[in-house]
Amino acid sequence: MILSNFFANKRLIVLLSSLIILIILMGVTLGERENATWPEKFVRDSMALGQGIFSQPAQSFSRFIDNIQHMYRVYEENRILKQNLDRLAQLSAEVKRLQSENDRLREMLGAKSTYKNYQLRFAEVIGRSPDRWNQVIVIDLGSKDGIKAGMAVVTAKGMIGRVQSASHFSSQVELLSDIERGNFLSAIIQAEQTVYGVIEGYDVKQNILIMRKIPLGAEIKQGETVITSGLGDPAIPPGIIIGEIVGISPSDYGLTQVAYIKPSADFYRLNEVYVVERYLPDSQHQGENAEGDKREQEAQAQ
Amino acid sequence: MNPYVWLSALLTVLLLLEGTVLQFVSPDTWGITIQMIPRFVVVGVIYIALYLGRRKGLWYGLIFGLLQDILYSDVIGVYAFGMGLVGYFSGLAFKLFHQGLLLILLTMIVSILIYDLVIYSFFSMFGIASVNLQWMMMNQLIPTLFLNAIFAVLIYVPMKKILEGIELEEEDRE
Repeated sequence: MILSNFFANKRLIVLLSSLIILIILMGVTLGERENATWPEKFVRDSMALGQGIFSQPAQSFSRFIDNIQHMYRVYEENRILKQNLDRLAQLSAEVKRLQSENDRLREMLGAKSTYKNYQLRFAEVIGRSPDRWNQVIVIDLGSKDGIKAGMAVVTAKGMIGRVQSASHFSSQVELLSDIERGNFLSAIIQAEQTVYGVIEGYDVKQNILIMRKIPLGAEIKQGETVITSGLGDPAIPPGIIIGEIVGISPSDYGLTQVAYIKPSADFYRLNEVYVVERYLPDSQHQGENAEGDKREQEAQAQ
Repeated sequence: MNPYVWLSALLTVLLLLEGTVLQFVSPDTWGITIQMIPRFVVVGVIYIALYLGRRKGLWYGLIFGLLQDILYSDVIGVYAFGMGLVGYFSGLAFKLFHQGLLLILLTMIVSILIYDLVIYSFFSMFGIASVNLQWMMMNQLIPTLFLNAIFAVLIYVPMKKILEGIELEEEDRE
C-alpha cells in the first residue's frame, strides 16, 4: 500500500532519479579527464562569444586604470630603466658569446637537441571562474590555434598555469593556485647546485605555493629562484620562472624539506597571457640526432 | 515574445557578468585578501522561485547551475545541485511569508548562505577546497553575503515588475 503510494508520486520519483543522475555525473567527472566531451566544448565556445563581448570593455577599462597608475611612476621608472639599459647591452653581448660557445661545445660533443625550444602564443583572458574554489581562467585561443591540454601558460612575470582543456575557439586554463588534486609540477631551485622538487600545493591564505620532496641535504636559501624543470610533463619546457623561496621547513616526517614559494606572476590581475608551445625534440630534431650519431660512429671508427 | 526566453537571457547575462566584468573589480584583483564572490545568478534564480513558484526555481537553478559547472569547473554537477536545491527550497519557504523587501532579503541571505555551504562541503569532500570553515566564513562568506544582498536590493524593483508581469500573464492564460 505504502509502496504503491510511493510509486504513484511521480514528482518524487523524478526528483530522486535526477538527484541520482547528478551524483553519478559528479562521480564520473571528478577524476582527471584528458578531453572534454563535445557538449561541454559546444557550451564553452558559445559562452566564450558572450564572454568576449563583456570582457573587452572591462579589459580596456582596467588597462586605462593601469595606465594612469603608470603615469605617476613614469619619471622614477624611466631613471631606473635607463640604468638597466646600460647593463643590458653588456649582458646581451655576454649572452651571445655564451650561446655561441655553448653551440660550439655542443657541436664538439655531438650532443642531442636542447629540449629548450618553444614559442609563445599571445592570448587574451576573456573570463574567470567567479568563485575561488576553481581557479580557472578562459582564454580566446582554442584547438583551432593549435592549443592542446597540458600546455604551460605564462605572463611576462612568470608561469601562471596549464591548459586544462581546449575547445575549438576557447580554452580553460587551470592556474597554479588550483594545484590540488594530483596536478603536480616538477621544478628546480636555482641554488648553488640544482635542487629538484615537486610543487604540489597552494596556500590560499597567504598566496604561496608549496614545494615538497626536496632532498634533506640540499642547501637552499630564501630568495632563490624556482623554475620549471621540464621533466615529467612533455608540454612544459624547462626554465620558466615560477617564483622565489620565502620560507623553508622540514617536512612532517623529517625526511625531506618543504619550500614555500612566492609566485612571481600575479594570479589575480590577468589581462594578457602567453601560451607556451614547446617544440618536441623527436619531431623537430630527428635529423640533428642522426647526424650526432653518425659523428659518434666516425669517432669510434678512427 | 515568450517571457521565459527573456528570463533565460537575463540570467545568461548575469552569468557572463559574474565571470568577466566583475572579475576585474573583485577585491582580490586589487590585492585585498577578502573574497567577494558574485552570486548574481543565484539571486536571479531565487527571485524567480519567489514569484513564479518552486518548480520553476528548481528548473532554472538546475539549468544555470549546469552551465556554470561546464564553464568554470572540472567536476560537473556541484553547482547544478546547489542551485537547484536553493531554487526549490526558497520557493517553498516563501509560501509561509507575504511578499515584502525585508522578507525577500532575509530569504536571499539564508539561501545564499546555504548555497555557499553546500558548494563548500562538496568541494572539500572532493579535496578541492582546502581551507577550514572558519577562515572561509570570515574571509569569503560574510563579504559574499554582503555583496549579494546589496545586489538583490538593487534589482528588487525591476525584477518585481518583470516577474509580476509574467505572473499576471500566467493567470490570464489560465
